[in-house]
Formats: sequence, C-alpha cells, structure tokens
Amino acid sequence: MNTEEQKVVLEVKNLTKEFGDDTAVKNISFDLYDGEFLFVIGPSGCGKTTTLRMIGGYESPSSGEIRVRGQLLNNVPLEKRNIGMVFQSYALFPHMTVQKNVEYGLRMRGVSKLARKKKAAEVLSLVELEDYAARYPAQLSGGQKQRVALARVIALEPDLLLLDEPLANLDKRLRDTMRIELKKLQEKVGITTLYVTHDQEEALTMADRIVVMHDGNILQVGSPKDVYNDPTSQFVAGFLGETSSFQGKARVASDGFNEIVIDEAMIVRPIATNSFQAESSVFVSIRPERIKLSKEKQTQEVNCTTGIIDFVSYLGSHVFYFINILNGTALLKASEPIPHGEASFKVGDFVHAYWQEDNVVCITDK
Amino acid sequence: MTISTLSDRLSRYNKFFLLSPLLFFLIFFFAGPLLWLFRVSLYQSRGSSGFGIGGADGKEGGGFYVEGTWTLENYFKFFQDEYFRDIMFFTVELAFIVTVVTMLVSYPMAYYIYKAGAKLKTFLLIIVILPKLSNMLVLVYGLQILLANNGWINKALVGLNIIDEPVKLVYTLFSVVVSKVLLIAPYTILVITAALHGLDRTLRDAAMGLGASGTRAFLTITFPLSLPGSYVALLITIVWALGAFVSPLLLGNPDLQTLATEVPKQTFENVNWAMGSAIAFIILGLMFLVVLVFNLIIGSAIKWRTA
Ligand SMILES: Nc1ncnc2c1ncn2[C@@H]1O[C@H](COP(=O)(O)OP(=O)(O)OP(=O)(O)O)[C@@H](O)[C@H]1O
Ligand SMILES: [Mg+2]
Repeated sequence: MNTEEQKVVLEVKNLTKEFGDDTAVKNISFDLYDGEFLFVIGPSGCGKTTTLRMIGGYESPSSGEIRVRGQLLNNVPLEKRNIGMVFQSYALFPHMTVQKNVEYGLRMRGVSKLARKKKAAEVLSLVELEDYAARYPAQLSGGQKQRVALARVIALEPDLLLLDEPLANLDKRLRDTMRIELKKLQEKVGITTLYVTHDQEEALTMADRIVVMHDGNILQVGSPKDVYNDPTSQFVAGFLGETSSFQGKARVASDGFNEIVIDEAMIVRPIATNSFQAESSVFVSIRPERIKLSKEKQTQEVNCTTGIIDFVSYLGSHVFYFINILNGTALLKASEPIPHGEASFKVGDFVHAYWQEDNVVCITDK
Repeated sequence: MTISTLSDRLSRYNKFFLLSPLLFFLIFFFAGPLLWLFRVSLYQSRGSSGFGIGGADGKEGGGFYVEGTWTLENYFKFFQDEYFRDIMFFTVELAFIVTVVTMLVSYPMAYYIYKAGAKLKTFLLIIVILPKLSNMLVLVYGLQILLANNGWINKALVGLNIIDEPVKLVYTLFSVVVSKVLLIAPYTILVITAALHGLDRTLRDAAMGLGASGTRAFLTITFPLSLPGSYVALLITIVWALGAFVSPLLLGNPDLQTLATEVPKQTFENVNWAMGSAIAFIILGLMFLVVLVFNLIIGSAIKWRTA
C-alpha cells in the first residue's frame, strides 16, 4: 500500500485548530490514498473529531490546508463538498422514513424522483435494509440506524467517507459483527474512508493505515503491523495493545553489545541494530504474548527475569498473568494461549520469564 | 403505634405531604369555587329582562338567581340570543387574529434567539421576559398613551409628514390585537425557543453535509422538527387569546367586547350571576374544544415522534 504512485485523495497539510486559548489540533499533516481505510486513533479529547469536522467542512481550520483530489477545500462551503460524514449519533432525520433519509442528499442535488428511488433501493440492499425502507428511525435498532446513516452518504458516491466512532454506541457483540460488516462494505464499495475511533482493537483489525493522535499532535502513522510492532513513542506503545514497559539505562556490555539495565537487576538486550548513548535513559516495551514462562531456570543470561504470579486473568482462549518482578517493584504482563483450557500457572507460582531480542522495543525519546 | 411504623407510614405518603400545600390551595381556591360556579350557572336567572336588579325583594327570596332551581336555560339562551352569539363569534375571530399574529411574531424571534451567540441570547431573553416582570395594567395603559391621537406614534408619523392627520389607533381592533399579542408573545417565544434548543444540532449539520443549503436545511429539517414544540406554544396562545379580557376592556370599544368581558358585565352590571357563570363555562368549553380538535388534527400529523 501507499506507494508514491498511488493516487492521493485527501491531503491534510499543517492543519491547526484553535478554540480560544485552547489548541485542539496542532499543525498536523497526513495523506489519504485512493480506496484506503485510514484510521485516526487517540484518547478522548485528542482532537480526532475536530480534525474530521474540519475535513468535512463543519468547522473551519485556524490554519493549514485541506485538499481533496488536489482541490483546495478550505473555502468550499460544507454543502458544496462531496464528502460523506457519518456522525457518532447517526443524525438520522427522525421525521423521515428510512427511504426519505437515504434519498435526502439526492433530493438536495436535484436528482429526479425515479433515479432517487433506484439509487435508494441499490444502497439499501447494499446494507441489507431493503425491507426497512418504510420505517422511521425510531423503529430501528442501533445497528440498523448505523447502516441507514451509511447508506445515506454512500448514495451520494462521495469522494471521501468520514466516520466518527460509528460503532461506539453499539453493544460489544453487535460492534464485533458490524466491524466485519463495515470492513467488507468498505472493500465492496471501494470508498476512501477516514475512520475515527479511540478503540485500538477496531483500528488494529480494520485499518489499512493508522494515524495515532495525542493531545492534538500526530505521533505516528503506519500500518497496524508497524504501529503495533515498532511504536516510536512510549505513548503509542502503551495505547495500542497491552505492553509491559520499563525505564532503564543504556550501557555497552563486555561483549560489545548494547543493553539496557533496569533497576540494576534486569538486563534487556535488543537486536544489535539499536544503538544508544551510554548512560542515556531508554524506555523498553515488551508485548505480553512475546513473553514465555517456565518453572525451570533458562540458560540465557539476558532478556530474562524471575517473579511471582500476582494475578491470573482467564479469558477463555488465553490467560493473562500479572507477574511481580524485581522484588515486587515492577509488573510484567504475559499471556499464554490455552488450547486445552487449562492455565499452566497459578497465583503465587515462582516463574522464570524470558523473551527474544527481536521482541524488545526500545524508545529513546521521552 | 411505634415510632418506626409511624415513620414508615409517613414515608409511604410523603409524596402527598410534599404536595399538600399546593393541593390544599388548588382544592379550596380553584376546584371548589369552580364547582360552585358551575352550580350557579344551572340556576334560573332572576330577571329575564336583563335588568334583574337582584336586590332583596322579600317574597321571592331576592338574590342573584332563583334559589333551588336546576336548569340549562342560561346555556340555551346564550346560543339563541344573537347578542351573545355575536360576542362569541368576535371572541373566536379575535383569538384567531391574535394567534396568527403572535405565532408570526414569535417563531422568527425564537429562531433568532436560538441562533444568537451566548451573550446576545441572554440579552434577548431578558428583553422578552422584561414586559412580563412589569404590571400588566401598566403595560396596557402605556400602550394607550403610545397609541393615542396625540401619542408618540401619531406625533412621529405627522412630524415625518407620512400622514397629515393623526390616525385613530387606540380603541380599535388594531390596539386590542397589539396589546393582546404583547401580553402573550413572551410565553410563546419562550416555549418555541425551548423547543428549538431541544433539537439535535447535528441534524442540521448532517443535512448540510448531504448538500442542503442553509435555507433548505431549515425548511426540511429544523422547521418540521420544531413543530411539535411550537404546537404547544400554539395551544397556549389560542387558549390565552380566547380568554382576552384586559385588552378589549381597556383598549377596545363596545363593539370589540369578548366573552371574558361579558362575564363581569352579566354578573355585576346585570346582577345575573347565573348567566355570568354560564358564559364563564362556555369560554372553558370553547378552550377544551379547541385543544381537542387541534390534538386530533396535529397529534396524528406528528406520529413519527411516538412511532
Ligand atoms: N466547539 C468547541 N469549542 C471549544 N473547545 C472545543 C470545541 N470542540 C472541541 N473542543 C476541544 O478540543 C479538544 C478536542 O476535541 P475533540 O472533540 O476533537 O476530541 P476527540 O478526540 O474527538 O475526543 P473523543 O474521543 O472524546 O470524541 C477538546 O479538548 C475539546 O474540549
Ligand atoms: Mg470525538
């Protein structure tokens, strides 16, 4: 994906939004390619919705540029942009039937009644709601409302689809189903989509690329794999997925390799391509599923530690262990797949934890 | 009885304890007199001439009605007598005009308040409420002075050479309508403003995102969705307009009298308590009828709300 030849649909350049003294979005830039499913993810209040609203035209930027297919949109009024936005609350018109809701955009564009009907039928069948055309929004379930909101914007064949936490109002089970449905639909229609969420699981499972925002800034842009495996900041490491993180000091070992010492007891050795200034402070992050546990002492001298299991969290397909290490001053999280349904360790067990060099993520800044 | 069972009982009925002062007030000063008034409307009138000065004339017991009688004759008389019928028609006509004018004035004002920024909004709301904080009579007399032949308006119009001679403004339908609108509009505006603020603002955003211009978004989304709330405002306006009393009394003329002004006329001038009471109940009936009819018509038109 996202090679240079790919067509850029949306271009955001140095976008900033100030609300009085408060800067909600700070000079962010990113591109969105044709047909791509791009996720903007970040904690509550980090400026995701504000970014989306500026692109959609519901909010005007304090500075910066927004271009769609090369055309500068900053001064194009909302109703003249061909961008479809699905609101978190769905914003269906309660006094109109599903049919009327879906036809609304076409009606505003002066499409004939016959053509409107045809298009509405088409998109309603796309979201599998043909039989609900005559209902009012109040007569629909949350998931159905969500699909109507989608159908309503898809009917306009927009250049760009903006989704603001479209699954946030649904219960867990429906959310999981809709997640797959939405991804399939996006692939079927091939529509370029910008999706805002604070749910990291959603982003990891659905995204082509992820933009991680924090406090109005973009911290990292990359594929789910990149962002998960190579977080460039402490925040990204902690925000996407579970991780155990430690602060340590870099040093050069007697065999010439770089290593990080944590609490003068645990030695973490990353792959050799990492280089640090001696004595500099380094942040180390290890994913729980990369950590192995054993009752026996391992042969390796580095990338291992010992501890006592403090808590076992049973998740059906997995167990999650919280292990007290370094004399109880730190917590290590490890997960274990349990195909036979039995956890290997219990609370109070003394365990040896170890991991591979390439499972260590080192972050030098912050 | 132990303390705990007593307090149990108290807590079971505590809702009613909280309500009791109001309940007492309503029963003794509203429901009671109303019932008595209804009873009075069913007495036989004493003087059929309309001048039945009800002084004590000894033999027949005197008073303001014939004691011990039960009759619907006052109601029949009302609907048979052209004099009363004309007053009723004028009352309805006036209510219609006042309602239309009030709604036409209130909706745009409410919409403007809804759209205004925080500071302007507070200012406008104070402006709207202010007349209601002053005495109603002060307001009406003020209007009388303003609209008088040598009042400010006429002086200004003559002074600006727009007209040669003062126009008669006061004691006309115009002055009655203006004052009645002034008295009702603050409530109408507040109710519509509240209704507008209850709307989901993202709906308008969504409409414009789908390509609607501001005007079309208003016409297709904001306006229809504000109707259920505005309908409440409409009912308040109609009911109030039907009961017009001070405006026709102080700013009208003998041809511009309403059922409400007729009640004290019958009761105190003609000393015909029975007829006065009957008219009072006819006003009440008229109000109920209007509310009922509107509920049937408009209630079914907004079925999506409850669907
Ligand atoms: N209209 C506004 N006026 C003032 N401040 C605003 C306005 N809209 C948003 N903000 C502020 O801008 C910041 C970013 O808000 P935004 O709605 O973009 O957050 P978000 O990332 O979408 O959060 P969430 O995940 O909770 O939806 C917040 O601090 C918020 O308080
Ligand atoms: Mg948001």
